[in-house]
Amino acid sequence: MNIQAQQLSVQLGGRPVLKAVDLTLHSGELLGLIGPNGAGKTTLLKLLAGLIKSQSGSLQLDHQVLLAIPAHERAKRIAYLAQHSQVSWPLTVRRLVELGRIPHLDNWRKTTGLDRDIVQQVMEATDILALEHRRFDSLSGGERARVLLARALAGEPEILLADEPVAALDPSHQLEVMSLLQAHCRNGGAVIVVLHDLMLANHFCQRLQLLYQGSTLAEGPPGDVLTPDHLKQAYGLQVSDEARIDRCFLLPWKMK
Amino acid sequence: MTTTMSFHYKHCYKVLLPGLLTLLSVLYALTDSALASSPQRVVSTNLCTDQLLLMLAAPTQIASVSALSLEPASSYMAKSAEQYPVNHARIEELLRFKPDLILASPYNSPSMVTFMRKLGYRVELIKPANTIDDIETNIQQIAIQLGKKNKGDALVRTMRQQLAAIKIQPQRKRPGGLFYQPRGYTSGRGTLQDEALRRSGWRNLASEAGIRGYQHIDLETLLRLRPVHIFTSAYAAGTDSLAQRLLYHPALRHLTAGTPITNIDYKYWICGGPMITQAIRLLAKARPVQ
Amino acid sequence: MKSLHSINQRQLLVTLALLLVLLAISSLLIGSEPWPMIQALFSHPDQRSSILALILTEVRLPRVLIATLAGATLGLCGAAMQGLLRNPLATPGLTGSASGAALGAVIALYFGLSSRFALALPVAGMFGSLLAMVLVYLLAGRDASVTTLILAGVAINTLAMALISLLLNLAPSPYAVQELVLWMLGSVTDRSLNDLWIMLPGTLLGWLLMLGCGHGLDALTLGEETAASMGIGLNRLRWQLFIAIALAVGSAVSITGSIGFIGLVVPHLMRPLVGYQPGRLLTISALGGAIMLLLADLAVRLIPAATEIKVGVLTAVVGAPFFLWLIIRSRRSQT
Repeated sequence: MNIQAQQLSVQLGGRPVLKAVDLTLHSGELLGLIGPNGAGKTTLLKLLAGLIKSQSGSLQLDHQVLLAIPAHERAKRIAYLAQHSQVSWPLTVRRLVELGRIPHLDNWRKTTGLDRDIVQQVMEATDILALEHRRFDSLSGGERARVLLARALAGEPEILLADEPVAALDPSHQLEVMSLLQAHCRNGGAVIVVLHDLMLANHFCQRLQLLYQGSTLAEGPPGDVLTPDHLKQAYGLQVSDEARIDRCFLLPWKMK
Repeated sequence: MTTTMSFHYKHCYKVLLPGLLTLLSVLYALTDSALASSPQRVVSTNLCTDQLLLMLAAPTQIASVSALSLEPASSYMAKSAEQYPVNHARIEELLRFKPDLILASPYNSPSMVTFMRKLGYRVELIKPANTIDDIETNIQQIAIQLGKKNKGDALVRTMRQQLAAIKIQPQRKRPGGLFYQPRGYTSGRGTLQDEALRRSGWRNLASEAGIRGYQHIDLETLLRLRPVHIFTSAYAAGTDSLAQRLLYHPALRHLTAGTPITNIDYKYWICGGPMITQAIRLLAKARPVQ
Repeated sequence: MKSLHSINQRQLLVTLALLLVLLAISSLLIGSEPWPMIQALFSHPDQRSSILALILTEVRLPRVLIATLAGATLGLCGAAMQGLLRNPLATPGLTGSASGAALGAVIALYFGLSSRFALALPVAGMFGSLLAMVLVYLLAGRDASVTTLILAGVAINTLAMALISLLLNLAPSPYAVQELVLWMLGSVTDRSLNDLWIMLPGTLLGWLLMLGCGHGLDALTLGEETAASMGIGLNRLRWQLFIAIALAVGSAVSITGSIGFIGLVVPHLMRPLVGYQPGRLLTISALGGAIMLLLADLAVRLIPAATEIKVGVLTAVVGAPFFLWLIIRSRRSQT
């Protein structure tokens, strides 16, 4: 499985949001999308999820034009975890995770035993079995994030597109969610995750793509991307001198 | 009637006396002439009085009839009404005709009646007829007002002869029928339709079920009364409404074994008059042959 | 809450279905006068069977079936509309579809279309319903707040009601003017099997289209983007629901008038029973709506009154306080 995107450009309301961006993704990869606010990360993710169209460029999933794949087929392979997921009705946790099976259901088919088994496994993996009868609106932020992730995973997607899944989580929950994404990749899936936390990006992602003003500023292993130069250019900040870039510690220290 | 009239005149004097001496004299002259000779400028403000006026008065006596009298569905005298100016029972309109007699019904606007009387006009209220006796009374009353007593008596006589002429075969058992109008109304005791049904050899099942006057009847109740024939006086043929659709309810057709509802025009009895005899003749004709 | 979620969905379905059948049977037996079936048995020994059969098949059966269909339609449409707009106040009554349908039906009935072609009545109702709904939707916008939606709904409803009363005044039939109440509040009395046949095709087609939207509505719980990423075609879903609601509501309203509040109250009462899931709510809400309207119709027959109270009067009298309670509760939850 692979995603090949070339020269993707998107304009929203006449304003260029993405400018000729390339992106590749292979099975087993955890790709981190980083960049300052407004760099085009979410737009790129939505493009990959087939939610919007690019004005130019090509986007292929296994050498097939992504948008040419019927939406319900695409939905079986690609899951999208939105940035500000709102849940309109206070479903119970199990019901909410079960919604993740919808891409695999026909209009008239209800969930079967197989669907329920998969939901059970995903809930086990995301450690939310204890919450199964709780209403979504009664959950804490960390619990909600795990439940929404479980919903996305329940569709057994090859590719998971997660937009800031750890925003507003405490450090331990952040680690928990990131490890779940990592586990998904270990099981043969692939993940593109939008992150603001450079430490997490550095620690968990095999590859990073740094977007800046709608273009790719840098792409590659975290060590190659998270250089002081790149960070200065993209975020306008200086990295702490004491903590040099290594595999485990990166500390934004002061504005340049 | 005369007592209420004199009361009103007294009342008028009381109201008008202060400072209106000239008007008073005119008023005197008016009432005087009205009582002394027959009225020459009669205005009728209501279909019921229109029809009797048109039947009884000399054409020269009639100043105006109400607009409804031109309506052929409800007015039996529509044809002869055409030659007269119409009114809508509005005060300004009535004043223009300078009437020496205004015929009205208790259903006319009470403020119009009071006002016209206050101005000194002679307003006669004719009660709607609910029986054939009422019709005779009304005919005679209006005839006297118009100074046409003989014509009134003749009209009553003819009506009685026509009624007597309707042959009703004596039957072992009188068939049961009833009226069913759009919106599900029926005519019970104390209505012209009730008397007409009975005089034409029918039982009015609505009256027998305890219905008085003009009342709504439940479709189920109607079915349980099991009329062999249903009559209606629906007007505005060719128009559609939920009210009118009720008459086409399939249950009614089943009930009367396919006999369609018989329509007997409103003009025969929306207002009581000698034309009731024609309605009775039609009802009698509709009786099942035994 | 936990106990509610553990309600077995199949048991719920069967219970409601049984309740519906029970109510339908009692509706067949109870008339506007107390126990007329028993009276009839004793009073007319000669013809009792034929009259009984006539009342049962030609008066009560259509009434019960029409009430069932219309009630189910209102419950179902309420649930579907609330699911689509993710707004518990969205109902056929509030989003214009009912008054639009009434307007369409009034045009067809009083101006001679339906006397020439019987199906013109529901078809005009459907078009009216669709038009009003789309107008409200365009006025309020896709992600309308409750206030905007209610305002848009009020505007379109008022317009439709004004046009209905204008048309009834202009209608050639002298009886038309008095029928405004009927269209505004609705009634199921004195309907015939003909009316049932007229409303049936649109109703069934509408139901089918709506019930096919269950997964889409479920997915919409997670927001439009997520639903789209789950393979739900949002435009298609929206139009399918609009057309389905127009078909069903247009058919029902053109026969019964716009019966209010069932589409609002029933989904609300049923929602906790299905764990708030919009897809599951559809069938349950349809059953609940049918039960509610049958109950209201039974009550109307049993309440002693000179002329029968319109069933819509009863649903409004019960439903309006409920609506107020909803508003107060939503106000509290916002503050």
